[in-house]
Amino acid sequence: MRDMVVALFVLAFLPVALSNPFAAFLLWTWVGLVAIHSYLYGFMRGIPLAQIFAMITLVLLLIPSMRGKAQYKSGGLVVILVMIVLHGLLSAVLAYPGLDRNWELFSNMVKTILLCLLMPMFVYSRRRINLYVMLLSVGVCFHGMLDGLKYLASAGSHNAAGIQKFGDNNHYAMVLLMGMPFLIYIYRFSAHRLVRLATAGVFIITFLAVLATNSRGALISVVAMGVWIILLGKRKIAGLVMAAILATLVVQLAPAKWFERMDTIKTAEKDDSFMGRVTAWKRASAIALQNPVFGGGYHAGQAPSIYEEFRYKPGLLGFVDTPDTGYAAASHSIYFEVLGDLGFVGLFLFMAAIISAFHNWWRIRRLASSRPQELGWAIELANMGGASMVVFVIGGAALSAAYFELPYYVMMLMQVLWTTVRFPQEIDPLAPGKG
Amino acid sequence: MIEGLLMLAMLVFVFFLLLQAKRLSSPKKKHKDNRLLAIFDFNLTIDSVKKEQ
Repeated sequence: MRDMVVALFVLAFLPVALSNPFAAFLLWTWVGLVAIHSYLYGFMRGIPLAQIFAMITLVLLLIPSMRGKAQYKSGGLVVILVMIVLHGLLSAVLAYPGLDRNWELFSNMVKTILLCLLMPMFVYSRRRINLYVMLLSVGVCFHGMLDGLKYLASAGSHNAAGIQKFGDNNHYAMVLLMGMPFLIYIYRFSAHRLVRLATAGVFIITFLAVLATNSRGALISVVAMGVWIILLGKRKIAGLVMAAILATLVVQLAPAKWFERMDTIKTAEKDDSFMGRVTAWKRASAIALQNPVFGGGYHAGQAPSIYEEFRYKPGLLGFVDTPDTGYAAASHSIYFEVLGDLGFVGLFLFMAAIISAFHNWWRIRRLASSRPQELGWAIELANMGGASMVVFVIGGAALSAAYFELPYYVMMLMQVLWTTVRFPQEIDPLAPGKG
Repeated sequence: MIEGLLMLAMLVFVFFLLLQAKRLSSPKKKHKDNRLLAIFDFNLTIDSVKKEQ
């Protein structure tokens, strides 16, 4: 039944997508984030919807009349992303033999970056940015809504693990938290009261889903995100009130086991889970020291043969005593993951992409602050994009999430936001001055 | 049950967003009076939010 309903909607989406490349592009983004096949159990499960909408987007771009009149404004991030793909290709080619996911992860990165590179062709005005932000939020927060409602219905006993695409509960919590700041933007700027109320509800329920993950990293990320939003927002009092409401929700709803779990943050150095991660970081850095330019290949540290070779090598973290985990654990850090997989050059490019997001945030704030009436929305959206990136930078420090698509979408969104406020007349043929 | 209903709500919502996307790419006057689609619009300035609130 569910498959039939989804199939009917996809059939309804298709004519819209086929007649409009922007709609096809939005569907491509949404389908990738929502991973709807994870919730289907029949014939629709095997239909590659993301590929279908990606193909429609690409084919329509080949038709001159469909392409539109917008100029392609690239920016520094585009160059960095192209370099990440080229460097990643060489890393994959020169990788250690026997890596199970080497080409799969490279291929995922290519798809993610291809979507990012196309974004400036479609998302170039305020209205288009708003639509993209809404689709992004729907794609991410659908998962949060599901688990948040289950958490409420079970009075706090539901454990949210997320879908297979996101990995474990910690990765899932990070993805949810990265989507939440955009809900604040939608809430603040949506024209209709109904949409604003619904957005506030989705925010709170998604927050409950984050609680349901029992992720310690998520708690640290929430605090970092909250500090960022409150410090940079104009409505500091409202921000503090919201933080107090959320803290009250935690105290009232979270079960005792959640507090016990969070309490172990204080004794991380004695925690096997955390020290196992440090062991993986040692191994990843040892691989990078031996292969500084191209690394060991995608997820090299998780291959049994590579694990045995680097098992006792201290890498860059020889000063930390760690246990011998006895198995090839994942890197559990976006930084060490990239370092081991793609070497120091790969890490440099990865960091450059992250820094470009914060650079764009800073540029947007500086430019828009001189025209707060006209560009106040851009400051707010840049702040929320920055909050999302703060979650990635801090939460990702203990997670293998470097190749997730969402952070790259956010980075590119910051780039197109900058381009939109910097060159509004040049690239928006429909709405001079305002998109 | 929750999953199915939420999925349905999301699909309807996405469909409206797609229509909004299509509207953006068409001449504006064509869809000027479409109130249903207008609920997904955003205010253009901070001032307009303040006025409404």
